[in-house]
Amino acid sequence: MVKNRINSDSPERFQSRFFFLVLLTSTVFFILLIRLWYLQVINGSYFRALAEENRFREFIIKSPRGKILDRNGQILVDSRPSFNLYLRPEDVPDLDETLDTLSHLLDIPLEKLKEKVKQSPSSYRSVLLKRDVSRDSVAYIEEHLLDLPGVTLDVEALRNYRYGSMAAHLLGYLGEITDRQLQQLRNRSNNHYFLGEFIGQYGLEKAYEEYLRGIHGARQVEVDALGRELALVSTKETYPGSDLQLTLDLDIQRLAESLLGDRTGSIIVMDPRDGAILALVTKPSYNPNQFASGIQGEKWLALLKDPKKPLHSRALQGQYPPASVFKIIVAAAALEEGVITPNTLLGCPAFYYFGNRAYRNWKKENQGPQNLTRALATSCDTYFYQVAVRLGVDKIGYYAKGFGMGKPTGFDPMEKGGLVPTTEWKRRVRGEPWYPGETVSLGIGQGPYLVTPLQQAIMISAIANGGKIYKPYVVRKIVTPEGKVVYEHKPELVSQAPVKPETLDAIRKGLWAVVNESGGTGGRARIAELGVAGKTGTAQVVRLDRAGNRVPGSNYRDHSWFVSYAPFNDPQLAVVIFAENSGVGGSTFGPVAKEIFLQYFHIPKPAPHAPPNLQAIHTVASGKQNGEN
Amino acid sequence: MADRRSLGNLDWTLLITTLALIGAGILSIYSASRGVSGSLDTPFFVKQLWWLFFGVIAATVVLLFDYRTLIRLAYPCYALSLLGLIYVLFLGRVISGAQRWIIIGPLTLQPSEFMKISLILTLANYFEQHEKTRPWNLRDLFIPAVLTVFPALLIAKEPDLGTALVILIIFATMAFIAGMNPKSILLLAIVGLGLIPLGWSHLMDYQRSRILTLFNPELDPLGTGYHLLQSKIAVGSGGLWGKGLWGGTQSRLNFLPEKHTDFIFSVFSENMGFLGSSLLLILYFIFLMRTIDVAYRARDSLGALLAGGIACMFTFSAAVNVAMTVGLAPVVGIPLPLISYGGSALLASLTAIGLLINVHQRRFKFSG
Repeated sequence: MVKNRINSDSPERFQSRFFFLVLLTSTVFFILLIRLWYLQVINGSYFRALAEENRFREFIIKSPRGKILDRNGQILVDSRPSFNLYLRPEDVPDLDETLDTLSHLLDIPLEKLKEKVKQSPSSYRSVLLKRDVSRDSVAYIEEHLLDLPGVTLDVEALRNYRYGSMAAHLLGYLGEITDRQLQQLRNRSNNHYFLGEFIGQYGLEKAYEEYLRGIHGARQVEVDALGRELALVSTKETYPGSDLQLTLDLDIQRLAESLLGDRTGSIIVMDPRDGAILALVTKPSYNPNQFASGIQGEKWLALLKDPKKPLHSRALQGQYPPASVFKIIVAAAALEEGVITPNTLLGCPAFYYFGNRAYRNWKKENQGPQNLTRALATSCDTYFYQVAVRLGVDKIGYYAKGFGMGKPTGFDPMEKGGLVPTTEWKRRVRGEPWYPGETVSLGIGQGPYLVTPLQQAIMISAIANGGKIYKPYVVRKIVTPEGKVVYEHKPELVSQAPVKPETLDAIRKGLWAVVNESGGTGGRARIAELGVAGKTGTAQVVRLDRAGNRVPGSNYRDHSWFVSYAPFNDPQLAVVIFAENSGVGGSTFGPVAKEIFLQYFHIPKPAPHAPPNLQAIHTVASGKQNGEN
Repeated sequence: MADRRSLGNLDWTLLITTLALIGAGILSIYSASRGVSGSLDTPFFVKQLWWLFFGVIAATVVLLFDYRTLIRLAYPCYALSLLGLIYVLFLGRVISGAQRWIIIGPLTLQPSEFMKISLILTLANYFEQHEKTRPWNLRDLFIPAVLTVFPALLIAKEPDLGTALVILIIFATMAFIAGMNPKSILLLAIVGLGLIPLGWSHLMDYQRSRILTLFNPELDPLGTGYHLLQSKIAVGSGGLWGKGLWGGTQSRLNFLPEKHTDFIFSVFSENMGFLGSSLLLILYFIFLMRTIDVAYRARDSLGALLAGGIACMFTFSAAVNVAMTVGLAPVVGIPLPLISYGGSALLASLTAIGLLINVHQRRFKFSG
């Protein structure tokens, strides 16, 4: 037994092998020691920070968003409580079954719910499945909460646009913060912007986000690995957002909205004395409330794809031919340049011949010689053809720009600038010289000219206020919850139109005649007590390609304009009405302007003559009375 | 049978480092389980103390007999452990997805832990019995290989990949100590490397991702990479001085997974900082050097093989475990011997240390 076990060579033969084991072990342990040094000493503070990050969790408490009020303090936008549905996957015994139930209850496809649950970083974290659950569903869930373990409802303040689609393009909407915004905002401020939060994405909600938002609060708690809150470490109070006080007049806005009805177009009501906007209507509109809880893909797509483009803010972004409203500019240019005097008589024949082409008036009969007042009142096309030819394209362009056309008014960054053609412009864009024949139709606002309804409002305001081009504004004041005014608008004079007071007087006289003299195209806006001045416009619409050439065979229904102000002697209100493809003349909208003036100046309607209610006005407004320019 | 002169020859360094490591372990287990409130079960550290008591008895019993006598128990021990392994495979208690435990009254036994010792005994016995055929070539290794691979497969099936790996390493090391010709070592290495892709395809998804996340923890920081990352955070956040004996937030708030078993070193490092963790590592290194020294000084090849197998078992497990906690090895689930919580492991470890002392005591050629 023993002899087998004792080997003469045993120590020697094992020596080298054990040496190898010792070497290997030493190397490994040396590496481990270095690694500990690296983790604990070199990177100790880094890992300590990570441990703290693990240990503390910040729960953001959203600050109440500021309200948006009209000029009389009426609430246009505020917040209302809503219920959000959360699911904590860890607490759900049968995830598939629960999701299936919720899918039916919330009317969300099962796959979408599964996707949301899957994206959760941990099954101990609650996943938001649906915002703003309907009252019925809330009632059902609260009743069946015991059968739905892991499902919780949480109250959240939801943006509430009290009048739905009213002034939607102006007020804007909220939307979920995008990754890019989150990065930018996180870098810029320490105001707790967080993933999934809703911030202003359009309109005033976006432009005044930093005021409306307030300052989010936070609760720092110590949590364990399961996310259980063990101790409250610190709290930071929320600070509510400030309120926006607008120049908007709820009553006027609502009236204007209803007067425009189902038409596609815009109404702008402005105080010509400082550019304050009292109403800004764009139709068709959309309901911003559907964005408040996160718009669903299909609904969003439907809005985007709607051929009527409800998301398009026509008042600021729609660019249209100014049509006969442009005669105001042509008249101003002609008077300033000495091409005519107010008393110059020019013929108003049925046709005006230039080159080998005949340009027609909108009336078939020869109207005889007319002065400027009469030519504006009857909107004589042939009169203005002659004036335009005498002026030339560049002089007209100079005055058009002088009245704020060709560049955005500065109201909104999304605004369009329109187009003022000049010889230089034509050479640059089309590589051709300007042909004299093209000048003729400029006289009546046809040709490449494009303006936005807001630019028209600025223009007519300038006529009324002595040539002052104001930057339009709608936010009058921003007030903190304590009542401290943090912003107050001061009228911002952009420029002065290059016209003499006498020129404006002559034009105003013409605009008075449009509404108040027999044969005037705007007669239906007449209010004897007030004195309304205005100008109609009807654009013959053809489709132009990008270079401004007419697309052959394209015919659209006419656009119509009505621009006006009142009272004549002390202008306080300018009203611009525009309807896209309405197929009716601008004079059709005289009564619309009249309604707005009556309401604003609190003038009782003369009972027998005027239509008894809005409904009737509406029928008249949309009636098929065509004919004038 | 006990040698009267034994006490004087006692390897005090081995004994003291062993007790120090166990002490550090129990302290860490206590610290790690402090946060667990409201548990009605006996606290882990109390259970561990009981197992320490049993382990000391087992080691003492082992010391009483010459290891050349004890070696006769090699095959019965092997058979018993194998039966245990087969039993758990069919009837074992499932804890967190693995079927590794036998419940006997208040005791929970893990046969794979005992298999390690049994295999060391069996292989030492076999290699020693067939010494004449040295140096071993691959064909000679067939029977020991079968003796190893069979339990290794059973253990891998539980699944307990870590312990199965330890078993295979024990075999390789003992064959190396027994003496293989260089050609065979090369061939074995090639075969081993060739088996990696095969083994990879047999791994479960979670095991694969554990290995993948080692190389790229950002791959899935909340899933598989989580354990690795949290352990690194625990160790790293300990800094130079540590957070204090009960100060580790990573373990207290349960960010650290398996904190009283596989990740006990992370708990210790978080609490004690680099000063503590490096000291523990050095202590462990001294302990391992002593175990190799016992093998080196053994009076015969049986003693050398026994001690060598045991040294290898401790060294490999400790190195892989610590490497895992500091993010240098995949999360394979090998506990840290003597320190991690685990009754069977502590009992087996102490038995092994008993054997080591036994070999050390009888290193001089005084035959019994």
